Amino acid sequence: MTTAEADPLPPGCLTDPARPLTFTFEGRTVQAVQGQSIGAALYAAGVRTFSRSFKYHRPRGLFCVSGDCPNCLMQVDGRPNVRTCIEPARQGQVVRCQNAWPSLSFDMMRVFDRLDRFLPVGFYYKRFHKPRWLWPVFERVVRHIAGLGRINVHATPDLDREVEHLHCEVCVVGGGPAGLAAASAAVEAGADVLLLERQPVLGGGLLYEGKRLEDVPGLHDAPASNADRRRTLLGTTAFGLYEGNLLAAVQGERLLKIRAGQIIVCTGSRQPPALFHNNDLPGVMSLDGVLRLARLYGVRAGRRAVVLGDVRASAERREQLASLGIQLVEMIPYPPPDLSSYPDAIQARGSRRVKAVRVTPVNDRGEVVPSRLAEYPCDLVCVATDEVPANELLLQGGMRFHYQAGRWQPASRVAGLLAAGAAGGIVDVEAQVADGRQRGREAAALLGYAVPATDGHTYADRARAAGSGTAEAIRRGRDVDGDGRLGKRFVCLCEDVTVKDIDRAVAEGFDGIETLKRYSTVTMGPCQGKMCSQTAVALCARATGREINAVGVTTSRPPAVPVELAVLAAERRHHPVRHTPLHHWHEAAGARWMDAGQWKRPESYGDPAAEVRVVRTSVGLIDVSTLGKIELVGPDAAELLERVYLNAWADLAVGRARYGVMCTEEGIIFDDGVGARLGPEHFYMTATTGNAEAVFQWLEMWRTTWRLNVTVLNQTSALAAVNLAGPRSRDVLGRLTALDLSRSAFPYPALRQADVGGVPCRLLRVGFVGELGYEIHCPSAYGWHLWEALLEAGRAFGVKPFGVEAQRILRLEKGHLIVGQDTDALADALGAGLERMVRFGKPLFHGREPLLRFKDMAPRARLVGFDIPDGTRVKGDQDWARALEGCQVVERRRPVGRVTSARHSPTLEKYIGLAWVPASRAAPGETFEVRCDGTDVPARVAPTPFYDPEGQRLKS
Amino acid sequence: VVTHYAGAQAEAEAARSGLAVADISAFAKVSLRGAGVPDLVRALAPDGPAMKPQGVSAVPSRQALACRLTDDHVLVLGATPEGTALRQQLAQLVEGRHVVQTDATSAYAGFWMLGPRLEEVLRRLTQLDIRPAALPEGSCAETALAGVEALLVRPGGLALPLVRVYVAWDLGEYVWERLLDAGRGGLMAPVGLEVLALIGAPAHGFGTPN
Repeated sequence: MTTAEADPLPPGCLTDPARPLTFTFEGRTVQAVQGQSIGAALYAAGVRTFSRSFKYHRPRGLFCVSGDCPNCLMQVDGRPNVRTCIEPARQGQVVRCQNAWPSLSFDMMRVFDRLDRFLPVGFYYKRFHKPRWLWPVFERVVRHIAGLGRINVHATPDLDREVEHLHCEVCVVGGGPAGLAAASAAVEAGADVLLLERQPVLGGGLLYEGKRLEDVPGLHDAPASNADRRRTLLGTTAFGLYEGNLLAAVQGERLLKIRAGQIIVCTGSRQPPALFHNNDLPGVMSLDGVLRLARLYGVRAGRRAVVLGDVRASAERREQLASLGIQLVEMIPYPPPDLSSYPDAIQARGSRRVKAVRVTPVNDRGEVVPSRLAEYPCDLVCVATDEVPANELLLQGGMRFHYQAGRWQPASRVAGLLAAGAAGGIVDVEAQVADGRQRGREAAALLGYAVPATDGHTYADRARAAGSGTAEAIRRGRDVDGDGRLGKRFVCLCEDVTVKDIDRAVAEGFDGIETLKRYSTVTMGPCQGKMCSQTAVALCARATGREINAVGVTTSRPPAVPVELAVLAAERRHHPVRHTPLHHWHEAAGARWMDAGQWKRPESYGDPAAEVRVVRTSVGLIDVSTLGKIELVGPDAAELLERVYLNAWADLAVGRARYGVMCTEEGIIFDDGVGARLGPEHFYMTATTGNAEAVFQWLEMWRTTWRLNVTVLNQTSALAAVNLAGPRSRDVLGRLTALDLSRSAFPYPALRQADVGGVPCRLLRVGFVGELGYEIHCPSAYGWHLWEALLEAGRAFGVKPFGVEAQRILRLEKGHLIVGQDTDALADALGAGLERMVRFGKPLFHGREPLLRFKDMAPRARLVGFDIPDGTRVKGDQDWARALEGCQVVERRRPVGRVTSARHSPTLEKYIGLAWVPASRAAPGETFEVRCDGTDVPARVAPTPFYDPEGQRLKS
Repeated sequence: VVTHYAGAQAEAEAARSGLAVADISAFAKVSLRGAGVPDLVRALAPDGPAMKPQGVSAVPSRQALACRLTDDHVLVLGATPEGTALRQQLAQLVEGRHVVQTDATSAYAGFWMLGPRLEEVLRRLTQLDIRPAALPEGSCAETALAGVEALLVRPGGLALPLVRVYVAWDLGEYVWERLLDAGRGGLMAPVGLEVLALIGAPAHGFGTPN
């Protein structure tokens, strides 16, 4: 067991020392306390190397302790790339290093650090191209080496994430001084405020800067009566700002989608790394990181520290560090105060952790002067650089930032979006509070609340709070190319991009910040530019001789922080399933299910071939509730149908039914179904299961477009439907209704309305399966009753339920096409053999013009029936027949068409199907071949229908 | 129609402290569409919120709610499964007006969600702003809920927060399961219609707007 450091600091404000826990790191047991981060616990246990860098595999230690930099990424309980500096330690966690082999302390791939001359910037664009035959080897090696962490592709993914939609008038992102002040001011004004804070407690920077929330005036001025107007979500990180002021945030494993009238971003700031040699050694930390480690988690970062920063703040730094029990060894000015001469070369020394800082003066020729060495032994280097705004959300929202007076400042306004505090470029805590209050009032005023007049504080005024100008100092400073001798200076810790890399990339012509980013990969790592963007821009400006604002910044896109894909997919956890009113009957009957869009349909009840035989010889019953059912009522109902269907409807007599096909304006088959006339101005149409909603919307759209006086009603959900089919169906139905079912009184195709089993129904004589049959529609609530009544009435006739598979075989025997299966986005009505449906005499209908053109042209392809000569395959192999569906029709080994449907017909005892073939090969008796599983199967064009070609049975 | 599950008293307590969900799919519903709908609504619920789209008015004489979905579409929600009288009365009103009347009882499944934790559960299922300020009593909204189209009706008239949810009949079972899932962890309990009477809702818990 690794023991904790002796002489610890007082407990961190996020921790509960009374609740100890343990976890393992690389097989060793590590002690921690509740609330402590994994990184802090490891640091307390003496771990200094947390990871290996992406490219050179250099040892890396804690730097920011805020989850911004990549230095602490580890594999936790199998999850890769966990930011352990902020990830709370939990009992029993298994923590492992990543990107190191064989171990974190001894990584063989460290050799890349010595081979850097062979791995210059953009080397992956230049290497591995030749010889081409070696690429597969390169690829395997590169894939093995590249990337961070490992995903267990064999694990069952845990995708159960929740999403919650929140609405508020003002959303304040960040619970630091500016955020609290903004929330307080907005609440005071009467607004409904949602406050997001990523830490488990409020306070932001105050927590680790040693200030107490209670001592900061202006944070709690809201009257108690307004207290319930503020909702606070702790442990919540906003990661994306989208159009319409939609803010995405993650709270634990829950996705929050927040719509706010006004968003105030108070996300604070961060300290980027300073540019000096070996600036990535473990032990080099941001000053804020040192403070966070101590005050949030109760862990001291070191004993003797060298600080790089503004020497004017020496006394403050000394006091800060002393309060943590850390001795300030030396304060080294950073950025260099004199930009006219070469600055001293600063070098962190040590192999696995920092042991000293050496300052080497440089002469006016840019050469180091070894005789004038100054070396400061230490175990900690604190980087106290200028803070840069944590402004990712603001940039995503469209706000622009300019560099002025030594600091990044907002330079534009965006409706609904405000910046406050350090995120807006303000450093001083009191000024942040004042700024927060002002932005809170401003947000409330923009929402229409009466608030005191603004105090005139504008974005421009912030320029008065000038920074020390680190970026400008880098741009104007003179540089010593001492990377080789004194060690690398990293700009981007994520991607191992050095100062030299940036200079080289610019020299190679990548002198725009966006192209520089893509070529060098600076800002493209896990931190997404949080730690390196400012420095990269400054170096680009220096190398190109431009102003910083002329260089601009890279584009910020969501997510601003790493978010699990499962969280992003939380919205998609809903998978609607539609059940017909008979669903549970089918389930109890042992139905095998198939998906039809959102519907669950019984594919069969065990033996589709037997179900086919029952329908052909006796009577069967199928649930067709999924069909689209649409009513059209009004004087223009017939006119609308005339215009959207290929065939005629105006001449349909009341009580009669008709098969109809509708096309798009391009003449492509869109849907088909049966329609019937209920009255002079009243039609009842059916649509295919998959197109029910689309057909309804299509009719609605064209009704509106043509301003026709017709009401279109979608009755799909309201009505259940069953199809009673087979030569004995009349006998069965006759037991349940007083309706005259004789051939003359209820002919094919027609519609009648009558009670069946006491239920008011619409009955359609249809023939999709090619037998005497009745499609019976009734209110959904009565669907079960009707079904059971029909089964009971049909018991004496051997009635059986049949599923979709049997229905498909039955219709195929009749040669009926299924829209969507036998047709596609190029299938026109003429090619599909529906010429007889098209009434070109109508003045206007969808597809008329293209179909007229098609008519004049010889069709290129036709949908034909085919059968497979006997002896090709043992009879009854439905799996083999189904495998033919989608196979290519080939001619001299070239694809010329495709099979759309194929089955073995139990009735005809042969394999039959439908296929698109060249028109020249569409005549009955023509032969072609179907390529299936590498074998060419002979087939022969056959006339359709295959079964009962005269239609005597369905008209009986 | 389910009268109760575990026990009416316990279910009433669940409604008062958390959230209760009741299946009211069987209650009568009538859809009225056409250019004559504004005139019809004037006769049905004069000067009520239903005079405008997204408004909901009580129709006390018929113990029904009129939900104005669009300018030319109003959905009348009955208070009981028996809808014959309601349909006949509406048919008389429709006479002579350019309105198409259809029985929508089997078109929609309906659920009554009642209790102080109503918003907490609905927030997990819909992006609609369901705060009382955005969806006040006497209003309705068509929106997506658990990935399907739904109608949310806030009739009011009860001491506890109440929203009725209507979805296509064939999606009723799916949405019922999604509601229970969103309210898992003891947040929500399915209740029978007896409970609605126990908590002071008139006519099988039929609330009317203030």
